[in-house]
Amino acid sequence: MLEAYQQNSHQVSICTDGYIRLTLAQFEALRFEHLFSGIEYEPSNSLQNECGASTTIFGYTEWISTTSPVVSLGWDWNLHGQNRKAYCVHSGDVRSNVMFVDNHEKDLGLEQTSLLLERWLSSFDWSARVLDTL
Amino acid sequence: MELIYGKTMTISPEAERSIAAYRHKVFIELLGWDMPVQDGFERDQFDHEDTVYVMARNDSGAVCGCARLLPTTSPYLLSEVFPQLLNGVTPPCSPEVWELSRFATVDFSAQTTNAMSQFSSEICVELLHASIHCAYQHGAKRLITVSPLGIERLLRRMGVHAHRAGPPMTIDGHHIYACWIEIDEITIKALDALSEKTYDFTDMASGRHSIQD
Repeated sequence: MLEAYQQNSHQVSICTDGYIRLTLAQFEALRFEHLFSGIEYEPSNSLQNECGASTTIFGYTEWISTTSPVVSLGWDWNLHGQNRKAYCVHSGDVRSNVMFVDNHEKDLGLEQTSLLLERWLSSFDWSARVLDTL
Repeated sequence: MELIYGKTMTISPEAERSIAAYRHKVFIELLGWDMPVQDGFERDQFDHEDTVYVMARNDSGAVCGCARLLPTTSPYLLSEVFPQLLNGVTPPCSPEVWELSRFATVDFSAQTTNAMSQFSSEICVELLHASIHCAYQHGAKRLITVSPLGIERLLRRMGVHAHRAGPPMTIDGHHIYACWIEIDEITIKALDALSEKTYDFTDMASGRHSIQD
């Protein structure tokens, strides 16, 4: 209980290098709001003249924490469909201003931070919100 | 491809004019940015005698890339025009932090130029590598930049150690953000692997480096 209180009352602060350093538990206690999303237009011109060719709809989305300073997250997505229902699946890295640290406040590094953000994203419910805004 | 860099006074007046004309073609004509222009040249208050330019020219001698480096110890684009992108933090003011701006690598002689192609990948790698080395020679350990959001994806793909300084914002219809680029082993290793050129960063660990202009 005490641990949970400490996590939720963590003051988010920004370091001089621009990173917001958090443990995974502190990060998971944050609330995120949708900022904006958009569709990317395919850079390739190769399909333009191929009538009926399949294409992929993909885009980006941006989310911010309700804290100040703000934790900023962004990722790309591809549009999929199943049983006449559309949904977004994330692709690539989660881009952010976060550096995860361990319980001794030691940086976990870019790779580990990236992995943890991707893992977190897989349990975050974002697809419907993105589709609503498009 | 030829890479040229130096301050306003050390590159030729002709080179400075060709950079300003190239910037007009990219940022005003191609991307439609709303910025002050004069007679087909794009310059602003941050183009002055202490500004360092990096320019790429293709085999025909035409400009195919440009970048602008400014010390953060004097007013710079982010500090004066876009401080709101810094997540509430005071804009950096340090000889070890330089600003990278007006970065573009459109080769107008290539056939596929369109509004999505502000960045040609090969020129982009070489220009970024040269810009980072140039900034490093001037004492930079980190770069800060205001960029279109799409740049972040490009930097990640290159493997450069870059991260956002705060959330992106939509300004004049463009999604932009402030980005830190670390001049560290991760960035140097990534660019060395992609670039055809090799630069000397041997003093990086000792922190001793400076330029002679």
